[in-house]
Amino acid sequence: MRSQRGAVWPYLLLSVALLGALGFGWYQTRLNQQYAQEIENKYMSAFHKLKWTSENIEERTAKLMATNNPELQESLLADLRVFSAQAVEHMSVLPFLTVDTPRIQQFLNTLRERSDELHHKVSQGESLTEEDWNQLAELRKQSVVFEEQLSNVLGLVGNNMIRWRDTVKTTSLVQTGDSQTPITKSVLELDKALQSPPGEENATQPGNMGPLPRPRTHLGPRVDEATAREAVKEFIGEPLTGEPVLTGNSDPADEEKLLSLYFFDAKKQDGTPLNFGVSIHGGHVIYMIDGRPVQSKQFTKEQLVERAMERLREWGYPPVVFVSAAENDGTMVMDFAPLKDGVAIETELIRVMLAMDKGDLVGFDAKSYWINKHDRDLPAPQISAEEAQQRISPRLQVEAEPVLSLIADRREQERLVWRVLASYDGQQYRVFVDALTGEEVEVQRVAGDPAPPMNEG
Amino acid sequence: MRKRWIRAALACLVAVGVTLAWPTRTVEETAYADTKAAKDNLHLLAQLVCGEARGEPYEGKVAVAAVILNRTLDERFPDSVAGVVYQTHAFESVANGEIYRGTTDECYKAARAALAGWDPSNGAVFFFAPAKTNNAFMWSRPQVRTIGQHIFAK
Repeated sequence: MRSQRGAVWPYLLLSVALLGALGFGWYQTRLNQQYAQEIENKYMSAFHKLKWTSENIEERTAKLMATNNPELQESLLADLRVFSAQAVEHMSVLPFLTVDTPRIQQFLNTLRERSDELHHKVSQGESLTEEDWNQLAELRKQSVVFEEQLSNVLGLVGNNMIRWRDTVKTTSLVQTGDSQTPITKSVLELDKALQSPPGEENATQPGNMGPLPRPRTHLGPRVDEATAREAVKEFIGEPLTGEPVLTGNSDPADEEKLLSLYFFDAKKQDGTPLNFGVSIHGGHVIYMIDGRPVQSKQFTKEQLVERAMERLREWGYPPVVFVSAAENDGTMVMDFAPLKDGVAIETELIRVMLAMDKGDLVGFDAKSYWINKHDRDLPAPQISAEEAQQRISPRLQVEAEPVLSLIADRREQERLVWRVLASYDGQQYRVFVDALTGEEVEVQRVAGDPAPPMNEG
Repeated sequence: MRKRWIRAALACLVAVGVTLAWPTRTVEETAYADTKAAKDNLHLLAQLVCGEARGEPYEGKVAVAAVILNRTLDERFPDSVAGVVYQTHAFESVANGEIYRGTTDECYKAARAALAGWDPSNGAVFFFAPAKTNNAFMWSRPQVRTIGQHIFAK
């Protein structure tokens, strides 16, 4: 009897364990299903938001074409600028990165750029021209197509005929991109239905999109690899281990007429690797990178600024003025502007990075200089430095004599300005006051700004 | 019981000693990437650099960070670093969690260099490892250059 009771326990324990395992498995499956559903909902939400944004774009463009009131035009253009930016954000959540949709991208970008530009125009009291209205009419047509086509996709999605999971899998980077789902097919149809405005067909070609540098003047005759290699050696000015090795070039046939570069790898005698970009035209060193870690700080900012200016003189750059410096990971990153007729040309900044331990060169970037360099007729300032100081906020404390500079404003227009260095509440600012009109055109925070990519083109 | 008290007292003494001996941070000049806004970008950029280019040369790491920043300037992509990094299917290391696996000093250095303006990718907005992908879209992009195992494209 005792032995029989003893044999029951293992079965009982096993049954409990089995039940426990089943319960745990069921719980885990439920969690996974919930997680999968949340992912599905994320895409669904982004799609509905995109659809809602497209409806707003369609509605605002319709109203814009119908109104003659500048205030209403300004408000509608501001809305369009926001909605087109939102549409790009919603698109980025959807799994369409690897679906080639150049016309959709062009439509949203053009809408964003034009609405921003025209909003600025109207807010300045200018009227929209016939050409502006023609462009808006084209964008209006595209916004109707965009909204209608998204409605078609919404029909499929809304009737539970489509789930995003398959599209997410199909468009993954690890896939070849050959197979399609009803969603990707609909998006490609949408892209096809959006006709580029006359004369802008080529704008959707991959090579014509994106931030590409294009020099404004001819940089010099085409140089061969050997000449470029010599330019690297001359630039670094110290013995290297072996010869710089060519690792490629950006545009061998120079078809794009952009800032074509030879790329070189070199090695210092202590083994530190260096990387260079040398222009195929003119053989100028455009950038240099040295990633060695900096251990200590032995040099002051003033000493490094002096050193950097000396190097620039040695490399044959025109006289420059110091614009700004910032410490970055044991290095000093300094910007210099070429001087022309007493004006600091800040659209042609040259950036030099020196290590704070040995004071040696660890980085150089003259892309802005070689891209934007061209002859200019600079106008004479119409307001004095004292007047410029009076135009800035009374809350600011002026810290230095204003400097006459040439900058690119937010609309990438060159403007002659007075650069006024001032401070408020322990924070330094550079305030740019138009030297012709006295308008305050830009305010930059000296310390506190993240380092932005350099201004190109 | 007595031994335990002695051990606890010793541990307290060591902790106090370490705290007192720890060097206090002196006020330094505000650095480029030491601000809050830059730091947010810096951490995420450095994480992505390590996730995507851990074994790549330094220049390749800077180029990967520069691609992210180029995308934020390109109107086809989101405006923020986070928007670009977490764009669906944008980066494999985000999809498989590789970006959360430790960030080295070199990745931070590369991210800082890109934030300071260096762009060895020469304006690229895509990069991919040719050995790992046969995605038609990626291969259709005009190629700018190759650094290490990555092709950079527009």
